[in-house]
Amino acid sequence: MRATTTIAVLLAATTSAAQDSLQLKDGRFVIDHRMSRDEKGVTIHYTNGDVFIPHDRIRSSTALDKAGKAGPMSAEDRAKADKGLVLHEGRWIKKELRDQELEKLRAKRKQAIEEAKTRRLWKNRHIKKTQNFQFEFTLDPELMQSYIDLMETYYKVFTKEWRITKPAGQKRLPVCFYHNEDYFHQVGGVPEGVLGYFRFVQPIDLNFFYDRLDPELTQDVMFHEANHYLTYLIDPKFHYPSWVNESLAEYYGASEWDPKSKRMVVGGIQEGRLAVIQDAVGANQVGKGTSNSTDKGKWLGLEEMIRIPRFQAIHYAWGWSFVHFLLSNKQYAGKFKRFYIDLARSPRVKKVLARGGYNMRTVEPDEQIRVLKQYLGVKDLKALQQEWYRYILSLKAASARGYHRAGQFALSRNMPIKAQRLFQISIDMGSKNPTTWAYLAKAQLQKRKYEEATKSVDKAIEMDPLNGMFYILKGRCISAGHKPDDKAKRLRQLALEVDPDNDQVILEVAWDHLGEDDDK
Amino acid sequence: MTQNHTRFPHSGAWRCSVIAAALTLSFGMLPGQGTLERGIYTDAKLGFQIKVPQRWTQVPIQVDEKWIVAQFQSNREYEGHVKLDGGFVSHRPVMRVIQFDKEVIKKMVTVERSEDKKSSVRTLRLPYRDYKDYVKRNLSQGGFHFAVEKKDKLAGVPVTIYEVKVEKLAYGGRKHFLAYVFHGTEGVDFAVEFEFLMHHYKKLDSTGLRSIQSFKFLPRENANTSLAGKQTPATFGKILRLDWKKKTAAERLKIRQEIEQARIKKAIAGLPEGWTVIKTKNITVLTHASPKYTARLCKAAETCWNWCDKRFSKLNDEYVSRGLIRVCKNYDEYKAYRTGSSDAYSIDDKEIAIYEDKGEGNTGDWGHLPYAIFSHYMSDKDELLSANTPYWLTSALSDYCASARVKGRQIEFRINEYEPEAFRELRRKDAKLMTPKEIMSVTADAMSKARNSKLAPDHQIVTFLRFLEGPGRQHKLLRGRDFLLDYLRASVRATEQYKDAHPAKARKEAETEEEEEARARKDDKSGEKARTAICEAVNKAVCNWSDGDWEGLNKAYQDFLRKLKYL
Repeated sequence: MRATTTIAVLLAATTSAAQDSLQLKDGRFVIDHRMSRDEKGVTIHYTNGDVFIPHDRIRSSTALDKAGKAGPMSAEDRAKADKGLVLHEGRWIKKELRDQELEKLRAKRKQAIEEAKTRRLWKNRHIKKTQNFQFEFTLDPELMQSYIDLMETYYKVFTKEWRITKPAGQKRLPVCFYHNEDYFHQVGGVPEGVLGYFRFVQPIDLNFFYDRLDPELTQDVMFHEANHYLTYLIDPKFHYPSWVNESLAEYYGASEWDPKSKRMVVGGIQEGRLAVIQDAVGANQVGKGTSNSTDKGKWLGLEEMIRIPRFQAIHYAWGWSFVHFLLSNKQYAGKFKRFYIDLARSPRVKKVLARGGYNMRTVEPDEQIRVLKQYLGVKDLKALQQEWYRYILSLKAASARGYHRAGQFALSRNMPIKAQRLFQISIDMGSKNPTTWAYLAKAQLQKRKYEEATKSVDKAIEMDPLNGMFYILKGRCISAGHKPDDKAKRLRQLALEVDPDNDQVILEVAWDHLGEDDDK
Repeated sequence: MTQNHTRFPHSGAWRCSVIAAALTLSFGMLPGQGTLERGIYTDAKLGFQIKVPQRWTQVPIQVDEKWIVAQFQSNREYEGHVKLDGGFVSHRPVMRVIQFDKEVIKKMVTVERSEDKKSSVRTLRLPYRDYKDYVKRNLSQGGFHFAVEKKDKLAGVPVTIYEVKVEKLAYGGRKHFLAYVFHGTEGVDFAVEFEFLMHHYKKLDSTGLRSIQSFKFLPRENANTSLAGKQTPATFGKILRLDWKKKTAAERLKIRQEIEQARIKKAIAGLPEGWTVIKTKNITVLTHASPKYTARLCKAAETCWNWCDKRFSKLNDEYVSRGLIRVCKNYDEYKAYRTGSSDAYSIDDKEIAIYEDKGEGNTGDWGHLPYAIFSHYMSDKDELLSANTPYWLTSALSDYCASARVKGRQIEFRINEYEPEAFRELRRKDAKLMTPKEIMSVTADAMSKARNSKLAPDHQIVTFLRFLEGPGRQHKLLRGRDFLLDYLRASVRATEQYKDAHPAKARKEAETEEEEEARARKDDKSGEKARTAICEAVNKAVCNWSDGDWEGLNKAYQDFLRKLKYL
């Protein structure tokens, strides 16, 4: 038997004549929808439901309120109101005049929003030059300024600490910053999974994106990728072995930044990476005891790591922990820095031509090992390796973000019980990420805790009301394992209205429809 | 409407073992199959006409393509900017006509379900919404952005004009696309797209514009000719293995032949002027290459096929469908042909696409052709072979085929030029070589570690295979049997038994974190675990030998290595 179900996905027509637009501080827009505004925020009236956005998330809106003076009027005010006047910005004026002024204001804001929207296109990007960089970005300038300050500070701090001078002839580095991940992949030319990159052959540039749901990740990637540029300045013709280059970048990736004091602090813990390693060896420190793995095969050997021809994501975790160990250890920190610089600069280190046809030099693994042992003053890598392993076991992820990442990891491995615990810890520690609540809801849903899941996803929606996936999740939560009722179906349609260009939302809605057809 | 594909190969280029047939084909037009006359391309069925730039040649579109309805390529090659395009780059501009049918697109998501004897296949598709969506989801030549997007009218027809720039990490040079999307009144849009190297855009865009300006809608001969949203019926993909195995050999042969004929017919129907169809004994060759090269290729392909047949036909009674090889004139044409829509795919696709490489084949090295023919042959013999044969043999056979040298009717499997040096290096390091038992139990993980440690495991295992196919056959353990075939058959049996013993089913839910943890660890290794278990079962079935036997085999293998001066 063959059955074909065709789903006509309706993007509900907004029939209202009065259309407003909204620009959020996180860079998103809502264009041409009916909206109303009050003292708390703006409500967007979609066909399938209302979505409230509080003022503190809004950068600009064309929706205007016409609130008059609340409460009982004085005789004088009543007299003015009786004459047909209205109160506007503290003065009584004719209604027509007020409407004209409101219309002008609306038009001005609309223009500002449209201008901001056009800047989301790469051809219209902002360009700003600073002492060491040329920033090219599609983000709002207000949001960008903090990152500009961070980069210039980072440049000064790192070049001073590592005693690096920019080689003659090096111009400002173009730093390309995209307003979201999809656009980064599209214009940056890299596939999903890549969070940022530094192009080290001409024309060199740096590329990454703003993750509105995880600004900490944005910062992390910025510190990491910029580190590749900063170490490139040691010798632009030297190609650092991946293991040490990526590991040092990861180390700096965990730096902290205070935008107010404009200070950065290095040496933080890469919690996600730590969770990966500790989980791999069965020694997950997060939350609940430890268990040391007897599976020795899971530990990555130091020599093995140095010899890896293609250093990949799982290796980053190991590499970061090794560099963190060295730079946190007084005995090794200075020596490791000298090793790093001299790998490129010392004539006593044997170099070979690097692969790839870029006319760059590098160092073979055997020589790297010889030089590392020499500079660190160790005779045997195995002894150093044991110190490193002990260090890994001693580290603990301690922040909301660390527990969030650990929870994500657990959920991805079909461990919803553990995931719930970890997400709850993250929330208790003050996670500001709405996806923490959403993932918690997913984990609860998997264990059929429908009421709790609904409360969790409601919290996620409160924190990020324009995330289409949250409404789909809520629809599943309130369906409580049964066929979706009208309310759940409306939530699906609302998801499509809120996020009409999100293919993932469309597919998720389709899967839900598919599930219903099972009974036909 | 007829199309002739008639060209006889040069006489004397053929031996009598190869049957060459030139076909004159007369067939009804498929959707998207127009005619090119005096530089004007007309597709009466789809309803459009356009002038093709001078000295541009039509390029065939892929058999399973659903969006691109015509494409052409310039005969002239352009070079990129040495610095900005990352080295030496050459490119021939391409023109494509892409159809967007609103009736299909409106549906957004189509679910197709077929149920047959308690099985069901559900397919979820997301058709391209419009040209912009098509570019966003399809363009994979580097980072790109829309430099121009505006609405206009051309000769009274509403159009949307796009310019797309491919700049960051551009593959094959920075590109500049110019596209006009013509919006029809019947709900069908056509995008006429030109692809140029950015370095030459300023002087070439007028070429594209002249063509674009000639575009006309025509009354469509038939409605519902859109290919979009329709999958080429993938009949084999919907037949469950269990049902397949219940059929008789004759029934299976009939089904395979039907699929084979339908695919070949469709591939031939889509050939533009200038292409030739040649049928050899086992392979249909669609060629735009020179007759001399084609003749050499046909001979080499048949030789590879004959080797597969001779070596593996007795594996089972499955019919192997005819090979289908498409030979493009040059690398640029091959690239243009292969650059289709990302959903141009069918499980029944067995086509091998290559291009005329004047250097290829002279020394007997035909690149990936031997392995491609081998893969086709084995996948028809049994679908389980490629993914489930023990890792060492899959890897060894791949390298073995890559080492094939075909001269005339002879095929030799030569030692890779890097192999002797790899073994010398192992000797210098005093590294311990893998024994036959170790080779035949090796996992993908172990191979990876061995590669990282520069122990040349790939060279070791292909050398072992050469031993098994050579003097190893005379060893007492292997004499009188075809060990390789036995091993492959055992792989299939072991896979089936493993799948039967581990059916996919819902598990009881874990109730504690500890239970979850234990399951996650088990699941992490499940893929490798399955393959390792299958390998163990195969080795037990085919080479359940004593330690003494293994020692003896190892000794014979070592003698072989000594003769090669690897020890």
